[in-house]
Amino acid sequence: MAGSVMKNTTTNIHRFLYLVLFIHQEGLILGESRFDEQVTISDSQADHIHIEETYNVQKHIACHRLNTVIGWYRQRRNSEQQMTFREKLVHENLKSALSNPHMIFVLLTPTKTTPPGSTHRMEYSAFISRSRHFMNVPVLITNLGLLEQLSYWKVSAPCSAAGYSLTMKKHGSKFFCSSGLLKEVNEVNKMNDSLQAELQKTCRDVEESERLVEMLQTEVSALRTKLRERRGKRKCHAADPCEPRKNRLLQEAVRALLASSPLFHTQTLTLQGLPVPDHTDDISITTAREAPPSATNYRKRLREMLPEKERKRSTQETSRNEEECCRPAEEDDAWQRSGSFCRFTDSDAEGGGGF
Amino acid sequence: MCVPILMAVSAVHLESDAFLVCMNHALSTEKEEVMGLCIGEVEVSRIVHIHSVIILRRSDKRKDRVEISPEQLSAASTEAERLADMTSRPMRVVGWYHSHPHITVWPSHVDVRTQAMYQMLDQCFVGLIFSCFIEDKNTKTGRVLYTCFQSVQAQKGSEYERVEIPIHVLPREAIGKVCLESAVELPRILCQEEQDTYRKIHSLAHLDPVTKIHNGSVFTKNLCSQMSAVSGPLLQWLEDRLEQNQQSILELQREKEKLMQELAAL
Repeated sequence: MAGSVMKNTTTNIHRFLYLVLFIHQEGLILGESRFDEQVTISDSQADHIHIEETYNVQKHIACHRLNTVIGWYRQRRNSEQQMTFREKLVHENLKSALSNPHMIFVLLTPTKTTPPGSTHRMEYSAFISRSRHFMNVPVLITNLGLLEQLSYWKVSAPCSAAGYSLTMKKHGSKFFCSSGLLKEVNEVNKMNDSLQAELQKTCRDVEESERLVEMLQTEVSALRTKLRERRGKRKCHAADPCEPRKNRLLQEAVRALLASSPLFHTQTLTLQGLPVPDHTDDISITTAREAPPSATNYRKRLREMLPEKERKRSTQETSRNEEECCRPAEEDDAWQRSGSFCRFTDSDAEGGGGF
Repeated sequence: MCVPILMAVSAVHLESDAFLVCMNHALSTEKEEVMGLCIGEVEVSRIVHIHSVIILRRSDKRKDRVEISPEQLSAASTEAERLADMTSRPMRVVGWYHSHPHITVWPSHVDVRTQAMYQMLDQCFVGLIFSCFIEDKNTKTGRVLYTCFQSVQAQKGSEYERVEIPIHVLPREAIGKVCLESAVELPRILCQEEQDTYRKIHSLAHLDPVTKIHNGSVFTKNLCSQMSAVSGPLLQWLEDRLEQNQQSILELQREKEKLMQELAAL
């Protein structure tokens, strides 16, 4: 008759560590994995082999260095208690990278149970993979309740045998101090006191380190801000500090796109809206190519830029303007004094009209 | 027609290090309920801000008999005053918490009545319950739930009913001094309880040597359980935290020097 093999897998985790895993999103878990095999041999039945797999989670690393890694963990808010495809891949890769076929993955998923957020649920489970098939293993949070509590005896079973009393007197001194207290109780109390002292000392050290970390974080943050500001100011002063700030990039873009268009060139215009020719005092002979553009040339170029309709209208206006350009100077002065750059008709000029 | 009730408290904000201490206490044993008090302040916006917790000993360990004695409340108030001096903030006792191992997170009628009684002294007093050691046998998924509530008189009858209060755990990178002290208080309280029990037993007259040796062994065994299940792992966590902080301190100091050099160069 063939025997059977049973496997039981549990993950033990201390409650403080379990809680800390809910704080850090991802990391590695360190500890100890144990495999105990129990073989039951019986005459009447076939051999039973019971394999107990226990993973004791002792430490965690929030994604830092690697040492005695037995698994990894992840915390995911408001999600299902199921491994994602990425997590399965990461798990398999970690197993081969760390050459540990018995890696565990602990998944923690906090969620809000009620809409106002008055009740919250935190679920947790552990997974192991066997032949790429993932399965849940139970997680036990170690606590005092797991350890069997024996009760004290409040009464003694009466025994009046002479031999009994003799044995008690003979061996009693090995257990009791002169004060009547048990030596074992004394010793375990001393050991516990030492452990409490260690706890207090480490607690003080942790508290000091927490304050130091906070202080350094504040200082580093202030220094970063100061450095950023100084660098920013330095960039501004790299240009002439007296010059007003210019948007050089915009300037270059405009030049590149619109350099050839006369419509976007700054020009001085007459009251009629015609560009003023740029006459210089220099009477040196210039060739026709170098000669400054005349008002006629400007108008011609403008017309060329305009669509057909506008071009015809512009031609008509230009003819009228050319006549007005020949108007006597004193009339020009009157228009300019009116302060309005618009075309004046004779009736407007009398009434001082405008816009 | 239901008339909406305006509660004195709109929400509870629980600092994450205080949350850690509460949960650690709740998960310390699955055999009995544990309890403690919350210390903090009530803001103008009717939000109760819990900064730390005080772990309490239970005098009555019967099921669903989670009650705080007047002496414990008085001692907690003194502690709150000490915290107020330390933090320069108006701290006081603002609530209580207890655990429900293996049972539902919702407060029992006893809990609701107890809460109502505390609210008579302070209408902003809140109650927190941590339900733990729950397991789904099918999926082997473990579960811990926590809820926040207050009590209000039922519309019919003289009984009370619970009102849910939104609770948010505020993330905090550092662990406060008060929370660290509360965390290491747990093994001290457990040891004290065991020593008190043993002393009472040991002082009984007419116990023969075998009984005394047996009781001594029980005491030794119980204290060893506490050292193994509570003190040891707590010490391990503290040492890990210290190592992590020392690493952070080195990195921050290096970065600080680098930044100062860069500033000097500008």
